[in-house]
Amino acid sequence: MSAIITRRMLTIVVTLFVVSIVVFLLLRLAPGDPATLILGDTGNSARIAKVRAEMGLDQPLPVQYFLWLGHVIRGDLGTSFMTGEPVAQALWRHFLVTLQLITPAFIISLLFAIPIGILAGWRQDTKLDLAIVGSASIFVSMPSFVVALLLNLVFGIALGWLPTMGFVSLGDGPLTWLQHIILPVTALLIVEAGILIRFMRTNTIEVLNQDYIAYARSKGLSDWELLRLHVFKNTLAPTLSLVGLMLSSLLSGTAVIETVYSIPGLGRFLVDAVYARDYPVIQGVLLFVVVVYAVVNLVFELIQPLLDPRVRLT
Amino acid sequence: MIALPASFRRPSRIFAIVTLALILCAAIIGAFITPYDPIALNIHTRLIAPNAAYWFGSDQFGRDLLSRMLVGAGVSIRVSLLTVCAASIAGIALGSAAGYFGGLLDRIISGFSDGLLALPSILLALSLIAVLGASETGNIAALGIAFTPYIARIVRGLVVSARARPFVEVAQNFKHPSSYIIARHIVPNIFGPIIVLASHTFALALLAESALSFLGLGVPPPYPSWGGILADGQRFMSDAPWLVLFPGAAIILTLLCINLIGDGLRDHFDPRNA
Repeated sequence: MSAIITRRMLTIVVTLFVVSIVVFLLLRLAPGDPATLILGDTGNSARIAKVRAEMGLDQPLPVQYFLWLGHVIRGDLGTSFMTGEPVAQALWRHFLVTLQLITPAFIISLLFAIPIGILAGWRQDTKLDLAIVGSASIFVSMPSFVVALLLNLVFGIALGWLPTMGFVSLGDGPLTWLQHIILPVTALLIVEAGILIRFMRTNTIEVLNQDYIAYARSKGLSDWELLRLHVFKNTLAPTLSLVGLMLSSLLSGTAVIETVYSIPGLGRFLVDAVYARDYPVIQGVLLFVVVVYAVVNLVFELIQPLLDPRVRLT
Repeated sequence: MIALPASFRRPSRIFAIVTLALILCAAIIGAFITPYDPIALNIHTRLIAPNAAYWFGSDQFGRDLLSRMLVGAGVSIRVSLLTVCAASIAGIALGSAAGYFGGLLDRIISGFSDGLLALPSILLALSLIAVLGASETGNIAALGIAFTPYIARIVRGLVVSARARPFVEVAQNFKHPSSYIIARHIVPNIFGPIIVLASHTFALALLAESALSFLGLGVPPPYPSWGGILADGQRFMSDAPWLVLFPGAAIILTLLCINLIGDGLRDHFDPRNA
């Protein structure tokens, strides 16, 4: 087991290495000299030369990369051009906000999509199945920001039930938090639910066509027991392999959704940094997202064999 | 009458083909058939609700929404199609080189594409736009780079399995150059899955493009794409909901058609799913 974890960690290190090169080059490919970018219009040539020397910009590119990497590994992601705040600190603060959005979106889409997907597969080719598959196909074609605007139009403007912008942290008042996250979370989870429903349906149909299901039926198992004992268990493990993909798409969604709802999360942080060409922040967000993605994938990969003995870690 | 392949003989997929064809027509000739000037400002026609003269209503600057959406269709579809072309060319080249030659080249290409796949493509594209600039070329380049690893990885897998087939061995024994074998023997044999992949990437690219222009990082005004029109309309949504409803519906409808056709293509090339 520990050998497996070590090997996975190595893969993560390689991934991070690749991303770090790309992220490093991002700043170097940017038009303009980084020192000039940092100082803005205020810098004279002497100050620029000083900053260049401090940042190691007078060194060859590979040396610069390893200097930068050394800082990153020690957790020093630089300071934001916009606010002067250390990037690592700001990242964490914004991530805690995003976490309060994507966790409920993730859990609700699982709770909602798994039973519906199984139901559609179980009732394959009936009117119910067609209706579910049809709505799922529409769901996956709905960009989160279009859903967000439609929800705002109905529940925010027409009915006036829920706020259409702003954010209150869970710790500052669970009820206000709930009011503020209902619309963004719904907008985020629609696409995820669509993907999951289709996936669960396909898997359910596959499981129901297996020989052991025919055997279990002939033993006299009721449909309910069949679904609970065989279908649910056997579709759960493959679903976990989708977790990385879902996380990735939820994080993509936050860039737009947090902008629509003015939520100070990671996505909004990145978008603002792109507007301001705040490269240390852009680099920090990308590296951070990759670490989160890699860790979550690792955890779920290790859980998988516990749920499905057929999956062996190699 | 052209006979439709079995995988497309479903009402939903026929609907998708017809609708997408109409949308593509609008994208190509839309800019020439606009009923009104899509850019000129007119204070007298501000925020008119949809009626017989202004089918989709007008925006806060008095511009006809239908005219703007016709122009916008051209921008959105062009950017996403060129993105798919760029990403497919780069992805097929890199993926087939990695899959065919293997070894160190494969490790480098696969290492890079797997690494980049850990980044959500929209976030990567956003960051690249900071470098490349919020322009049409910048968008195509950023999105193209963001989707290349995805295509490269899948093509690599397809090439690895195609390479093991006898006709490739025969071609190798004839001492054909590798580039010839890849282009003439391998790529045509994995054409089906590549088409399915391209249709899927088209949907992803359109989604990403509208998200970027919604964030104001797409093709700059006054020429709008659908995402940009939506972002403009957002501020006047409570007085003029049509500014959000029509462009929103256009994006959803187009994505739905591409996805339905993609499902059809998948069933067509993979009989197990039919």
